[in-house]
Amino acid sequence: MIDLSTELAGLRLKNPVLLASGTWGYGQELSQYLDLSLFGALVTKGISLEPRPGNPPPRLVETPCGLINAIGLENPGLKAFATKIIPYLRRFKVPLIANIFGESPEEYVTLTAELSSLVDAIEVNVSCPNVKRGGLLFGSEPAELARLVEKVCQAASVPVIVKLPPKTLGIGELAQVCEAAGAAALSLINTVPAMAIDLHRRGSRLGVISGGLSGPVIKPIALKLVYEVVKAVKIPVIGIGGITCATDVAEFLILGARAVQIGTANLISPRAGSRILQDLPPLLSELGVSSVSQLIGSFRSE
Amino acid sequence: MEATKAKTHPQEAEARVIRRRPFKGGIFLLRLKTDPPLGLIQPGQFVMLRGEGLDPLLPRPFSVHDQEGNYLDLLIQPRGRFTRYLSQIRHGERLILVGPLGRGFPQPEKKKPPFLLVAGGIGVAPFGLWLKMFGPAPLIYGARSRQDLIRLSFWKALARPLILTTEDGSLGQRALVTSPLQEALKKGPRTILACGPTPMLAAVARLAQETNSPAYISLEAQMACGTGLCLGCAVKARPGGYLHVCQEGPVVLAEEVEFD
Repeated sequence: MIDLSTELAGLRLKNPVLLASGTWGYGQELSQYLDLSLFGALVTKGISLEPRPGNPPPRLVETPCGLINAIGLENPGLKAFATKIIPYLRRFKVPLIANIFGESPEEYVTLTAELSSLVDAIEVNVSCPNVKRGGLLFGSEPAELARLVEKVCQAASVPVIVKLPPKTLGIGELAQVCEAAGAAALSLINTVPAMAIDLHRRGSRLGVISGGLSGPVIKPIALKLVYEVVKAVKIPVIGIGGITCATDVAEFLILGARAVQIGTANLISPRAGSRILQDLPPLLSELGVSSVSQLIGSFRSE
Repeated sequence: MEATKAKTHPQEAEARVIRRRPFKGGIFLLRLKTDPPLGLIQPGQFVMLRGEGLDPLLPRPFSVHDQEGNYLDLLIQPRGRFTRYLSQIRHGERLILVGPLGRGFPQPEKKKPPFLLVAGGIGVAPFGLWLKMFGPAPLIYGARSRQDLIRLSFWKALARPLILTTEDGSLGQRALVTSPLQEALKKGPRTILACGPTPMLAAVARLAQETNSPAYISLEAQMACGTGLCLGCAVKARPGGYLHVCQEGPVVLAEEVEFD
């Protein structure tokens, strides 16, 4: 019997596979295809204080092995999330992590304070690349980020996870300032800022010029950045980026991630998550370990 | 009367290629056998189809042209890499399908204006299932040229009458589909069902509004999941905000859409 359980920021998870924010709606659609209670935890779609209509179309472009999205954090806002969505998701008896996004530190704080009693952890989006105002600033400036994380952590009565941007230089420093400011865990990477060009119109193929790249194409970048962050901090790390199969999960765990989030894979197949969970135990056996914890951080640098 | 959603739950199924039948102009019919069977599909609903690899990465939406037991037919025009791959696919090859998805066209009801079907190019696809399920109705079917009008004997057998238009006059009336539509609407309001390119849908929406005819149009958008997870397939709605084609559509009332 393979032990898939893992621990993360004080949360005991039955397995290390989480559903990433913004890639599974709010559960009603996906639960037609699989049992949401299968997962280690559910990270809900980014919630802002007020409802947001999202960006003008086109919102999606497929690239080789990748997807650029510019959804623009369309969401029903805190009130509808708290009264309608959380009660529905609670029925699955699985830890809920609310992903939040604000346009000012005050908005982040309000969201955190309101949601702390309703969910098991908060994931702070500091770096969505396809929203004009807000997060990007926090995610790229260590001092700004530190101040934001500190305020959010003070307002929170549940663990705070900071979702880091794919900053290829200095991500270790960003990770350290989050740890020092009180973050209980880090998740990475968010989507990679990206563009696609329409030759005939000589313009962007997205309605808002640029978006965020996800999917298998970003996995090598995510692996490298998870490697850097695991070295830089003691708090747990959640690996995100292009995971489509159990092998991908194992790669992030070997680097030291205590859990992973799957995102674009849910869009490729609504049953991707359950297939990954099914394939994980036999893969661990094949790798000669009997638990996820034996695999975590087993990376050999020489 | 509303765009309809099948009572059958969507599911992920294996789809084996049973037949690929080419027509003029590169268009082909792909017959698939799904395991498990999909249950009853509403005309206008769609399926997401992908190969087993990760390139192309995402599944693609296809309107269902016909359904017979465990078999379903898709009418496909090669445009991108995946449809070109499908145009070469062989008997027995395996695809993965999710469906049926979205809301389909409404069915006839008493005391409502008679139906009038309007199709532009490959947009004719969903009307195969509609006409088979709900019986004969007039079909206005237009394209650029005669080679783009396909399965004419199939449509002749199902539609009453079948009105053909081409932009170059090589078959039927030399006109856009909106010309015979305008003529037909002079006889009084009709319930219009339309599927085709966006400029055609916008023109149909205008004519429908002018004649107080309800019009149901089938929208197209870039999609990632087709299942309501990503919110990528947004189109501008009237009086504001967005419609998600995979959930609120693909068939919506024309008056709900904001055409630029």
